[in-house]
Amino acid sequence: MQYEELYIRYSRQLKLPELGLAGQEKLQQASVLIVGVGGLGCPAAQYLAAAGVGRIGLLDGDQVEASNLHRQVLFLEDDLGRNKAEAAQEHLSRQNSHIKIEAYPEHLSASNAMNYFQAFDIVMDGTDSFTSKYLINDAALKSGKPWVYASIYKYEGQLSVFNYQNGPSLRCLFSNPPWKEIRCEITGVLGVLPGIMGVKQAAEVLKIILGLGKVSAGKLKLYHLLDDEVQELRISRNAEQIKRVMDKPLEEEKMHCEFAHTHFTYLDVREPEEMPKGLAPHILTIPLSELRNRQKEIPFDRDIYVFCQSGKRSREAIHLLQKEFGFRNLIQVEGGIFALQNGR
Amino acid sequence: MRIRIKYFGWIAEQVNKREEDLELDLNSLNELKDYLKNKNQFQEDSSIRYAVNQELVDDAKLQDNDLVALLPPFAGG
Repeated sequence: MQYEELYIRYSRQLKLPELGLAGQEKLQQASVLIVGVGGLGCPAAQYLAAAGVGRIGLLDGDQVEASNLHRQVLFLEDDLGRNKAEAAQEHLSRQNSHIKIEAYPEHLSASNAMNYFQAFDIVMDGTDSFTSKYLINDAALKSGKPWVYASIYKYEGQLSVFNYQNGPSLRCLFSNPPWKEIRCEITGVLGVLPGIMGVKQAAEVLKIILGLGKVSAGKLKLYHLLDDEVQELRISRNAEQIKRVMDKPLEEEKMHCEFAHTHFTYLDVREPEEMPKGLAPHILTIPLSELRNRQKEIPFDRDIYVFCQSGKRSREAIHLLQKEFGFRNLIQVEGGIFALQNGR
Repeated sequence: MRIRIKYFGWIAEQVNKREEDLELDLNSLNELKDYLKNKNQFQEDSSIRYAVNQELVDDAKLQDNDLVALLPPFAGG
């Protein structure tokens, strides 16, 4: 870009004395990988591209769906069915043709994460699953990259910068993902919330690149949309958690993902008094003692993952349902709820 | 003593409030965890983290007017 063109284009941020031409040069030299180009990733990508971040990688294996449009405002109706990373690349390149925008139309995995992370300075989390967030965390630790985390639940958002200047990681906050996955597709979300959180993430990315202000490392910001309140909790680095990641090969938290996946159906055969409250709608609860009378409630047409407390009764339940009612679609969750909760 | 409790995420939803003040006679966060477990107003999950006066801790001594936050992980995006 010609100096004059650059000067005009970025004039409003160049005027900030903390930024100036030196700051713009830092932005031009910087590279950011956005993992997940959805509710969080879209607004972040838009502001980072507009600010002149020199190289932006967009990683997403999903297609634009009609139900995305209310919050992923970068996408147009014409984009339905297109890969998100590719559609976003096209729009962003038209917003700023002077920066490099790379589309990677695939999902983050344990086998590709290290290659991607090593090729960028900063990673921004725009994902919506525990599996992805923990994979980002572990790959960021192993590749020594800071990453900007955000998560939303209904009207609440969490934000932090992890692995920044020897700060804490996601596992220092939550050592393991929970056994229950909650997603927008079940809980619902107002489009502005990921918009706000994604823009906050972009602000953290810019602060890291420019060395401006206080980066939100070592603290978790909790935002509540309905009363516009932000609270802050301090997180300390847990050396043991970090060592645990460094000592083992990179792997995905698979069991949780499978268990939590809303496309799967589960059957909980524990007795009512030991069942946890608030289970998701895709988990059927029929105690072993009532199984014979209520077997008609169990679908035949899809795989059902059967679990109990330890794995003993689910085996019994499957045996009973197969022998007496001819079920052929039952899969036992080895080790029961304990295994699910501990990620084994 | 009086403890102010703040609930986040799906915990707030299950207890149907975002904060409350409790008059309690106990000394530590672990005792408070047991108390809440017995009240059984939300689903127990080993991944829930607790903060006392904005500091995430596993256990801590509690004093009058302390602020305790209950934080569940969530992963929406």
